[in-house]
Amino acid sequence: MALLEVRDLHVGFPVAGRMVEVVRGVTFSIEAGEALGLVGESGSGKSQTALAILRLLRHPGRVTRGSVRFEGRELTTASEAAMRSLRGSSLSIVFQDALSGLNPVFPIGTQLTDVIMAHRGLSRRAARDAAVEALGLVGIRDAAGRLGQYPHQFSGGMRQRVLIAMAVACRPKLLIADEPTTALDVTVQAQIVALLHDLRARLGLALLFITHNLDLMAEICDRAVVLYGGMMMEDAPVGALFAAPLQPYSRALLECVPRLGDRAGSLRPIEGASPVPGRLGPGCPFEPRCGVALDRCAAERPPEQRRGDHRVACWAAAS
Amino acid sequence: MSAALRSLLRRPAGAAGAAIVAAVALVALAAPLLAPHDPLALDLARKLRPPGPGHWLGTDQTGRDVLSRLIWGARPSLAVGLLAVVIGTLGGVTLGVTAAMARGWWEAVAMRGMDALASIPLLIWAIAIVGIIGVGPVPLGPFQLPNESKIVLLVGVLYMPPLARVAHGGALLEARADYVQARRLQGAGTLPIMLGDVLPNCLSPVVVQATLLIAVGIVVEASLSFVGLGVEPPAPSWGGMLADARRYIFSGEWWTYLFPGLAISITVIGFNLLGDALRDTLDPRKASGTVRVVA
Amino acid sequence: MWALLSRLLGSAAVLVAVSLVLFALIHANPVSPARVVLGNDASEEDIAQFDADNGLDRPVAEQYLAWASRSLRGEFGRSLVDDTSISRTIAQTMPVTVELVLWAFLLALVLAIPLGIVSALHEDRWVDHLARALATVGVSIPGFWLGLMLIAWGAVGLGWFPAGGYVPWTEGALPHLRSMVLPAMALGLYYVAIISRMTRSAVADVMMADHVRVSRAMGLGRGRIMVYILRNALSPIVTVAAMSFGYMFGWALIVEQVFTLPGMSRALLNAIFRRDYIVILDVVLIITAFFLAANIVADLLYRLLDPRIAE
Repeated sequence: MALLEVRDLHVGFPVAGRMVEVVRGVTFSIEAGEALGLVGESGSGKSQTALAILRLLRHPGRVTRGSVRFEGRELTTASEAAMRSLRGSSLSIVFQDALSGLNPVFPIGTQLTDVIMAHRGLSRRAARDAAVEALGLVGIRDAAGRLGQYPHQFSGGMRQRVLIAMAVACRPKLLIADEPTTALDVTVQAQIVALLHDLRARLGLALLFITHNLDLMAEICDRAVVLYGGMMMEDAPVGALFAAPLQPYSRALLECVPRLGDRAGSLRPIEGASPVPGRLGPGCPFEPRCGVALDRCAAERPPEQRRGDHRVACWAAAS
Repeated sequence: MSAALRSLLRRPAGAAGAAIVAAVALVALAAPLLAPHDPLALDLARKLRPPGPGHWLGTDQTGRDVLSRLIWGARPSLAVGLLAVVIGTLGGVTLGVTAAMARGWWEAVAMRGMDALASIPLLIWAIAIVGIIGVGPVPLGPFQLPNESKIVLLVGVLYMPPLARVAHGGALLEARADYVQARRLQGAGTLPIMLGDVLPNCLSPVVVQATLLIAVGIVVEASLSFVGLGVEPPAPSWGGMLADARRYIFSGEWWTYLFPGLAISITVIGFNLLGDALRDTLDPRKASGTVRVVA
Repeated sequence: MWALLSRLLGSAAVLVAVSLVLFALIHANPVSPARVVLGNDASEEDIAQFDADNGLDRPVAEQYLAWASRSLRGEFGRSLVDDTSISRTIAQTMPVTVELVLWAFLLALVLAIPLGIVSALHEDRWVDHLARALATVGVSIPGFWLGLMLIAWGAVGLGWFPAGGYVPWTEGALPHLRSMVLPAMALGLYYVAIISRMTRSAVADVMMADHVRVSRAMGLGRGRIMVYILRNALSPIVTVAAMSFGYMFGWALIVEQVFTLPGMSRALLNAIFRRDYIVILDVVLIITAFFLAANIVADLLYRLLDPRIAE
């Protein structure tokens, strides 16, 4: 049994009396200890998928169909109290807003110990020790001395480390990292990715790494799920995806990534406009921009096909 | 602008506010046409008549028609509210925008001056100024300005700080904007940039603030007229009518004190609704309402 | 610390400037105090004698300095009109005004903050719409008319409260408190509206903040998250509340008139109608000083509450 199983997940926001779906039937799973990349451009539904897993969708958004199972337990129908005890403990998350993710008027020590006390049933003193340990784990030196400091006394990269410490302080089995590096400098980005890689090895946690950056994803993930227009396009081991992408969108995405040794000017953006949720037809969302689209691509949703450990949703790849 | 206007009127609150303000303004302008009676005409045979045919909102203690006095009373209320805001806006925007453009010592002096002015409480000072100069008309050359003009001037001056601050903040942002920098590099002078680019683009929050301040001005005028320091009797004013009506609370002539209070409250609600709706349409960053007028 | 010191100095400068303006206005007035006191048919000699007795024949600058040094020592001198001690007048009237403001302020806080929080927690639900509608109406009803309507309702109609007048503590706590209920409501409603709107927008802003989403994602309990939100929303609420407190002294004067309370408005309006200039000057400066003090407290609390500025 997989650690996390997302099956036919739909997320919708009511807009002017009708449901606009931003996630439209996404299916994937993560094994214990595995690192899965969830890749797509902004608006592909990757962050909404993460929020739906944790049931943290912004009101009035909600899961309209499908199932999320964590350790075999259904989360879409679980009680709010059950979700609360899960969040931050065995199922945790790091967001992209590193600079604004910590509460500005409380010392970081208070924020860390509050999370630890909420889940681990420790006394305040023991929770303090656990907080120091968690900060040490993410590479913050002199952790005990910094517990009393406020977020504004930390740099952006350090704040993201504190947030990661908070997320792993209760030893999660799955850590969702939702674009954890976008708000940071490039050099700091690499350090944070290295830290996540290291934590995964040391704590044995599974990772759901959400990004639009294929290179970062390739650095730490075993497998990748490509999303487009709220639908799953392709699910493959990272090596296979880079070597032989089956979906035309995945191919286009890979061609966008600048590589060392590229001739200047060889960068090719994907032609056409990004999909707008709520204005998509019944077929493949990539069809309007696809170079190899068939007649039926616009009319019918492509079926998911499995080829070994490789899944793809594409009419062209099917034929 | 017409798109903003349409979006304003599509909000129920905005449409209601605009309708109230338009109606009150119309009543004030057309007072001589609308008022069924002379607001000053005494009729001692018909004093304290309850609402009924002939006097739809009743008569006061000297038999004057309450409806006619209400209609004429809209004039000093709106005049004080609007003129004070005009003074405050002209002064405040000039100071705020020039301070943002000039920076340096002028900015320091102007904005510190505004800070000092902002630490003067409005109402007590309106009372004090009228109290010291004395109640009475103000001679100005061949004209006699009414007593309220003292209130207009003082309130106008004290309205400058909040308007200067929003204008200054907006102008600072605009002056740094790329298109202004580009115009500068093209060799455009400071004055054309200030009047042509910066000023029009920093007016939205000023309009919002000014609308809300009109509401405050109306209440200040009514309060001063109520204590006998505003509009001089027998000229009709809403605050003055309430002062006359005080003693009829005990004898049950409710129309004397109900309608003038409703007139003030509805007018003020109109400006407040309009101001809030303007903020929501013109200034979405502040949509949750951090610009607040306290008085 | 420096910020506080500069605020104090700035406020002192404002008080000096403001007293100079008032002094200049008084002396620019064509009606001299002697004329007011002695009447129109007083002889020139009598007037000169009056001016000499009261130091009004000396240069304006000297008069100002004499007044200022007296005021700094806390002595307000004597009324020119009836020779009563201004200090005593103020000592008699100020407690009434301060008490009225305190009750109204308390009422405003107790009603406004829960209302604002409930409103923010149920954003765009009917409670919120109701609270916002009430707030719009609340900022629009002038306190003196509300006072009249409260008298009609609570005193004339129901007979629960006195229609006006001041019952001192010495005549019993209950009658005393009863005489303050309607005035406090009349003065406080506007500030209920102001503070509840500020609370609503401050709490709603914080609820949208990223760190609140993090707290939820970390599985903190509802109570703890509420503490986090309120602590963040506190600075703007406290600032507006402290500023409101300062403004209340001005409107309290009008409300006192409605309820015929013997507060500072009585001293001030008596002085105005008798052209008792020194009393006007002193009362206005005292209320301005209250207002400045409230602003300084607002600023200070804001700094204390936000660790980013506190340093």
